[in-house]
Amino acid sequence: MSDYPLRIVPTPTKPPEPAAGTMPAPPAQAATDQAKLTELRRLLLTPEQQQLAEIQQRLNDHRGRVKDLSSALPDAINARNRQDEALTAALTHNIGPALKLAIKHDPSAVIEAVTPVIGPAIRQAITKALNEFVQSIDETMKYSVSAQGMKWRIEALKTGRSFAEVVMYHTLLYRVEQAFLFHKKTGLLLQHVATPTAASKDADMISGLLTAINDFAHDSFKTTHEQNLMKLDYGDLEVWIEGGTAPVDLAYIAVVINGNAPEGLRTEVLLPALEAIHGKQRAALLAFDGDTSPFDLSRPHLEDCLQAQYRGKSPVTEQPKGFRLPPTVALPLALLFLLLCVWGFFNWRAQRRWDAYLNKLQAEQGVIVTEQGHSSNGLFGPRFYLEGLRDPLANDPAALLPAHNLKPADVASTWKPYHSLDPTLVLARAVRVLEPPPTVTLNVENGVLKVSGDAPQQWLETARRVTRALPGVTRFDESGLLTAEAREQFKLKEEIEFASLYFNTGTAQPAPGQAAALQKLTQQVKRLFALASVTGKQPKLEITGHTDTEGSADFNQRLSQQRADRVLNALAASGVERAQLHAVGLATKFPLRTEQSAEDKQLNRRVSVQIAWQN
Amino acid sequence: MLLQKKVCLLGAFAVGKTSLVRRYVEDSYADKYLTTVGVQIKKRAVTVAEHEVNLVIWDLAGEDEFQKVQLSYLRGASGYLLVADGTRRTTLDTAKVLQQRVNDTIGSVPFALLINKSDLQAEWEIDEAALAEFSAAGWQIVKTSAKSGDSVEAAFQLLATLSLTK
Repeated sequence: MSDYPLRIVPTPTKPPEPAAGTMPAPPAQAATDQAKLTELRRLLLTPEQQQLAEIQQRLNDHRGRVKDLSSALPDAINARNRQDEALTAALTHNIGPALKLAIKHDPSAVIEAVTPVIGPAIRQAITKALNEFVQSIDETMKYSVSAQGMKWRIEALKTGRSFAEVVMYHTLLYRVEQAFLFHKKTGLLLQHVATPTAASKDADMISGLLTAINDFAHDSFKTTHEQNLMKLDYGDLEVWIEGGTAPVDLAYIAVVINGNAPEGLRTEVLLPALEAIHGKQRAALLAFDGDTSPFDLSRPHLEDCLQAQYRGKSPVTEQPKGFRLPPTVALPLALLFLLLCVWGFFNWRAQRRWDAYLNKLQAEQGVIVTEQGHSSNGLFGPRFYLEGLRDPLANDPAALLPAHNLKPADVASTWKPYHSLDPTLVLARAVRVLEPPPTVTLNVENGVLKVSGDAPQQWLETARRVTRALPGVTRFDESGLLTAEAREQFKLKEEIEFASLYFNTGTAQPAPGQAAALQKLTQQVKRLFALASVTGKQPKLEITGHTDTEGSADFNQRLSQQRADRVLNALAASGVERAQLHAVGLATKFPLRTEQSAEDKQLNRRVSVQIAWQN
Repeated sequence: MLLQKKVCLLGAFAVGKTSLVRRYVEDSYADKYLTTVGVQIKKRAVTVAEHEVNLVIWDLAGEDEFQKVQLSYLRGASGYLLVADGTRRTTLDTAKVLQQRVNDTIGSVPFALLINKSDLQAEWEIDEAALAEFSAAGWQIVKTSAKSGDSVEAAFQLLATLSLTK
């Protein structure tokens, strides 16, 4: 109204009322009245008509309306929110799609908006996880090195449980293993959470049973429904039920606790969780008709109830702190433990090497271990000792140590000498004692020492003598051996038997030039006899005379004998013992050639020598 | 959407409530009679009109002259089965009395009447004429046998359906 200028509204003139009983006005009069009425209406209604027109205009003016609404909207929202939650409910359905759209258009804006919220939440979660991890390491370390820890380790060994289990059993004050949320009126399970290790039966039936027990208690003891079952004890397990009082009485929380939880758990954990769930889901609890899906929202609150408290850790618990070694003791102890581990490892490794070395020694010929073990000389002396018998010719046991990563200083050994009868060592001993020349080979087989090859007679004789005293040798076999002297004798025999002395026709006179041959024969025979004194092989010479076929048989018989005698005499004259010589005439019985020429005849006129051995 | 529904079985003693539940949940039967003390709770998932329903079945101790059914166990139930024994006429009377008491205690809740032991039909004391009275009153009646399994599945399916209509 203030938009309009002040107007002077004339006092409406009343139309003159016709006097009772008078006639209606004539038509001219009526026209005038109509004009007056129109004027009157104009005068009376113009401002309202103008206002109506303006309102019409404002209604049609979209921009103006938006402006009006924008100034009123915040107040309107506040006013409605004070009244009820209908506006929030109406907007709820739009928030999801709106957010989705916003992320689609410009994800960075949403990320910027959300980061301050999510960042700390993630940090908090990581910190919590890390803390738990560190605590568990801390816990294990703490009990690994303490006397208590050792005791528990023994207990773990005895009972067959893992060390971690035993530690938990002793250090756990309590742990909430499962949490149930169930509907008070129906006793139906709304939500259930459990630790990964909890032994959980069917949660639906457990919640039903708890409700049944509660109902039974109500009926049996005639309690009111405001009085609830609070606690069930079953050995190490307790079931705590938190029912709350109005208005927090639409659902129960029941938790299964292992150990002794402080009463504070009920007031500081269970009740706040129950209140939070009621605060958030009162409507859902009231309208519950079997659909449990809305109660997924209560899961975080139930998870908050899954608390565990270990000895000496808790801000909630009033239990005394467990025995804990001060770092000044624990650290050196840990170091000592570490050193023990290292020492143990090296010890174990040394033992393995020692065993391998011993195995090798057992296989070694000429070494017999009679005693062995760890030396009792303390930390700095040799670690092992060895006692036994050792053939001086056997491999040196100390030389085998480096191959097994052992140092000579690690082993104190005492060896007593003995003669091993192992063939290898018997042979080695024979080689050492007999010192055979390079042409001789020695071999030991079943106690028989076999020699083969060429050797001087003198060496052979020494060998024969010495071998009798060699341990491990029962017999000396020299069948494979020739002495140089014997070899020379054989050679001379061959040469002598191969050669012949030739004679002139009809006489016992050597042919021209045969003097040298006789001379050579004499030398060879003398040498043959000289060697006999060394080899022991005494030669016996058969000197045979031969003739050609000229002349009579008697003549030739005599002539052949004469020729043989002549050579015999020549040999005897040079000093060969006559008794070892025998001459025989064989006339034409053994011609060297069939006589067809003079040359053949000459070759048949001869004396040859055969040698036999006399032992 | 998974729904949880609490349903109860009640009736006179030894009518076969526990055997019915056992047949329904475990598909087994034992001739040996064991009396139920207090309540036994079992569950089985069923599908009713495309809804997955978790039936939490409360099998209440039978009613006899020494012990009355604890009706507080019925609190929050979406339906119940009254069980009578076809071979004992009195159990039908017990069922009738129980229904009235349930109605007085927790109000109108869907239910069905099971006449159990249909495998012993020859020994039945309950005839169609006796049942006609209940049918006339609008009761749903199913003849079952926990021993043979006859109609047990159907009876619980009916109960599940009824519990959804509550």
